[in-house]
Amino acid sequence: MNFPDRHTMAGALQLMREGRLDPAGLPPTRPDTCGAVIFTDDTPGLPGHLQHFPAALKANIARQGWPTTCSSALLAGYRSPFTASAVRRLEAAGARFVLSTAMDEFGMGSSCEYAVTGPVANPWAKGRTPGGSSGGAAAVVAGGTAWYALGSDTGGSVRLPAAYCGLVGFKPTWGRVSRLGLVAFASSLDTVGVLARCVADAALVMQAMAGHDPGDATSLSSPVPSFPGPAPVRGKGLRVGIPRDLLECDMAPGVRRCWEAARQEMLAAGLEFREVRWPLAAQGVTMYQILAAAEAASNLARFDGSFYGRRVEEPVPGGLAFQDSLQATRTAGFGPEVKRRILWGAHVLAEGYREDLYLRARALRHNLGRQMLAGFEQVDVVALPTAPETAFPLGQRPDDPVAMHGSDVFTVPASLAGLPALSLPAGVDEAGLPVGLQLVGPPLGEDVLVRVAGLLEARIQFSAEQEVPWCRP
Amino acid sequence: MDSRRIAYLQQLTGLKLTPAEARRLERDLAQLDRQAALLPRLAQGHGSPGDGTVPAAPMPLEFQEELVEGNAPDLEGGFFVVGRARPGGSEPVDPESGA
Repeated sequence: MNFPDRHTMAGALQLMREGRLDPAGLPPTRPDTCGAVIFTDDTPGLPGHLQHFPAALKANIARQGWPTTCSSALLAGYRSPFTASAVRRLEAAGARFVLSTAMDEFGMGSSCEYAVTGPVANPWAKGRTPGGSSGGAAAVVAGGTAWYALGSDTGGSVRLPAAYCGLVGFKPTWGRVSRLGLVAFASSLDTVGVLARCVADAALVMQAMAGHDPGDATSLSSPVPSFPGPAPVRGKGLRVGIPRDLLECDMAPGVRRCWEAARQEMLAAGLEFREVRWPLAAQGVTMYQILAAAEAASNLARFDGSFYGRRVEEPVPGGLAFQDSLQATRTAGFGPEVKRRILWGAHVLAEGYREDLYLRARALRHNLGRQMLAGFEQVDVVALPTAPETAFPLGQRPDDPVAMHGSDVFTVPASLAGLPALSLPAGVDEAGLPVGLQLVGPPLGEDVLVRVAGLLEARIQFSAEQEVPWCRP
Repeated sequence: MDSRRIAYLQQLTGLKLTPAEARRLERDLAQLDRQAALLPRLAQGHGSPGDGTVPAAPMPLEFQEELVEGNAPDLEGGFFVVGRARPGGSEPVDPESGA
């Protein structure tokens, strides 16, 4: 990529270290014009290397005293009594979180149209989706309102908005970043990820927030290696896997063109291609729909009006019985997509259906994970497009869950296998909308992802000249 | 899928749907069932590694040893692959150090 140095955190920090940039000379943040911001807080942060860069949180990541609404009417007015571990780690490095951003309710959606505050627009084209579910987080970074944002990625919710908004989206290995303080959607898939302007910025943030957290029993104790800096690395000797089975899926012509161009850049950089076989990956979306719905039905059972958020108590003689209050609260509080997924979850777990749906999907997920791991015996990373299309028009799909889930076909396999993955801009389509290139790494292979992504970013022509929103005059 | 099942699911989840929402749910679940029907069937016995079939019975030990649950509790519905287990054991192994 080719951005002015002071427009990226890594570049600006380098200039500051060299004494060539004063923090006062950093480009100012811009107002939100996409309907993405739902809360602001100007409280100063601690000193540290991230202190000069205002940042945003997705509304399902807790910060003490902030509304953690998950963009749901059910949690309207709920304020978190504690701060998420990932946020605490970043704040210790100087991070200053100033914005909470809208999302698809409870992380369920791929377009950011299922937020109680209304749809969020894409800074590249206001009539189009920023992707979801971390669409608000992506919109504020792409629009220059924040330098970076934390999102959550369950089936692609960081990588898809990154692709649609011309950003880098970095999803870690499951367990690499603590989930303490992330409102659970599907616990075996949920991760906290980063949306940033470039690979080095995403690596900077990931480096600061990754690591074991005693407060999260599922966080991994493996040490976090130092991620490579912004300096270009050599491609020779690196092996890239091409998942032929997935690439046979339909994709838009502009996406295919950018993918082919990215392949040529990888070849020119000296990367070696090898084919990997992930035959079950093309069915990942169905597995994901079943498993994520099952876990969501369980996780969201806690929202019954007795502890979190609002409670509906209709004035009736003698008051409402608990069961009636629960039903009234959940029916009024959850939006249509969340209701749909909870009901799907109950369906796939119910007696008579469980074995053929839930248990089968769980066993298939197991086999998919083994297929994907086997691929990494031959390659360092696997490359594929992030999404089969670019940002689609708002209002096109909210009533078509099958089409909506189709956006996730390339992102859910890494989620199902718990693998790290990174989306970076790979160009624009014929309409000038960003296209994402996805790299998937082996377990705990975040450092390899950063190396390869940094190499490709330096070669792929995606620059300020293409009117990236945050660089517009 | 019939209306009694939709009513049962509503009762189970504490959600009340309008008639239009219930009809739509019926359609969505039928669609989900059709998609699921396209998934590979459960193999009898343990299936074969990598062939897309899935074990109907618990996996034999030699397969389990290739998988580690991280240091996570056994989440219903989830698994996590992070490295190789110690032979014959279930303790996670650090994939970098091998310890």
